[in-house]
Amino acid sequence: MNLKEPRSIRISGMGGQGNILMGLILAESLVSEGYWVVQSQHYGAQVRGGLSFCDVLYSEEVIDYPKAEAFDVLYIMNDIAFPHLTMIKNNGIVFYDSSYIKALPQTVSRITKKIVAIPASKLAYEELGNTNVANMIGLGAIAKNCEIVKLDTLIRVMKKRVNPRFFEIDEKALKIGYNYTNKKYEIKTNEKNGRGL
Amino acid sequence: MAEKVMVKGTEAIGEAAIRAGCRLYFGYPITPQSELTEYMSRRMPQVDGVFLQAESEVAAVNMLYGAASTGHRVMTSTSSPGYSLMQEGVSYIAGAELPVVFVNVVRGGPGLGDIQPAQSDYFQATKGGGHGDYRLVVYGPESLQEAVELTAKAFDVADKYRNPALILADGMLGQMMEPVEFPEFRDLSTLPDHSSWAMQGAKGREPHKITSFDINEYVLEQMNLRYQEKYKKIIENEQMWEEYKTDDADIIIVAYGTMGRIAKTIVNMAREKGVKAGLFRPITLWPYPYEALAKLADQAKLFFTVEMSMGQMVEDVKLAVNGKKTVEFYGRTGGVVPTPNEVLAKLMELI
Repeated sequence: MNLKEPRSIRISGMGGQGNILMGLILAESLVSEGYWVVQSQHYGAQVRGGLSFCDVLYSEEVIDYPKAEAFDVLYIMNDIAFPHLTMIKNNGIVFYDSSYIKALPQTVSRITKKIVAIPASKLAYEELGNTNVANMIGLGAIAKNCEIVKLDTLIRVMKKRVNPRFFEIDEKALKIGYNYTNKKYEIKTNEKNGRGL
Repeated sequence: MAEKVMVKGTEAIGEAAIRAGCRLYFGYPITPQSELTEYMSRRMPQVDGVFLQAESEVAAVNMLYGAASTGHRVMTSTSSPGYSLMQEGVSYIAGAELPVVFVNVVRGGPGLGDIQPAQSDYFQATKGGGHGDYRLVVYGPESLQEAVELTAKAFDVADKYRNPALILADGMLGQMMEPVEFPEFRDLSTLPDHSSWAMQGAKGREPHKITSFDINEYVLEQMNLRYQEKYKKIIENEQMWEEYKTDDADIIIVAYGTMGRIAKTIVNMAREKGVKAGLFRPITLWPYPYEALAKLADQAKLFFTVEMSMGQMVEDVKLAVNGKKTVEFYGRTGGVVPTPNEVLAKLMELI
């Protein structure tokens, strides 16, 4: 029997940065591309400004264990989420919003070299005049650089989930993220990746 | 075939209830099920239903009692401390033989506990909770799809036997999102006819009486014996369970709900190590599938119960196995969800 672990993505940031919406659109896009998906989010006494995160697990098969102990992909929106860096798998892929984060702790580079800095909030402000859409830029980047979902799918699903007032700006943001860099990092599916730190 | 949609557990149960013909919801928000209350507040007006936020769980359960007396499909949802508050009303509703669907999205306890997933309300759900000799039909879904199907089932069974039913979920199922296919909307004109007992206006006929009370002990005993006849029928007809890879298994893992689905991963991991493990997953927690589980006692060397509690369902496993084989237990509590690796490690220690 081939025991495949689902692929796992965690999006971590400060409450209010839009990580749950990011995870939701990503999860629904994966469903529409035929995967089995489980999305869960940290829930608690969250307030704007506190640590908040959203996990997306996906697989070709039904997912029985709905959580992950280590992640293939981490998207770090703010340094408040640094504690989650210990949960990246060996050679996993780490994205971070370099508008707010000068540099990741050096220990991360011992676990993986696949690190993508994207100034999502800065791009959102400079190109679209609204930092709120930094999450859509990040989502576009994850989709492209890990080759997990098509841009068209993201745009279609986004339009099911957000207020029509934001269709245009969110679509632009997704495209900015999607076209930001051409780096391609494959999520290794069958390799039993050990836990990082 | 309907499209698979990504929904949150609490919302999936709410939508399933509406599609099953429920148009009356009374509740009070509490984490981790507040989204169900919120969902109903948005959805009920769209389907000409009634959403009413009570001032407390005690009020909500008594509103259910009144509304259920009219013969309409009614429900509430809550989480552990809220369900504790409802217990007096649950007992009254069971005694008055009213079809009501309860949802308890269980969180860590006892007391205020926390808001993370737990299965530590099993005793309360299956062995009473309120006072008196009564039973609720209790369903323990493992996935959102199953929660949707069991919600519809709970309404049907509640109506069929005039007995309350309970969906026993947990914070994991309540809060996670998963793809779900919803059934079609139930045509309201096909719902069971309750005019023989419900309070629907007594003009031109003798009034109906709905009560859990009789001052004469012999009459009350007769009422109780009637309940027991009904419970016997439910035990005969309504047991549900799933067996996963039990055909050749000599280790039987017993787990339900969220822990039940996780146990499937554990079965497969154990089999990779050459251990012939299988899963017995009760779906109805009352009536508990004792006989089906007992049948496995001949082939199994060991029963291993895993729960998100300090050991509650394990007592029913022992009743079923009846001393024929060893029954071991592993559990985490307070809102901790055991990982497949830690459960497997415990299993390997035992064999």
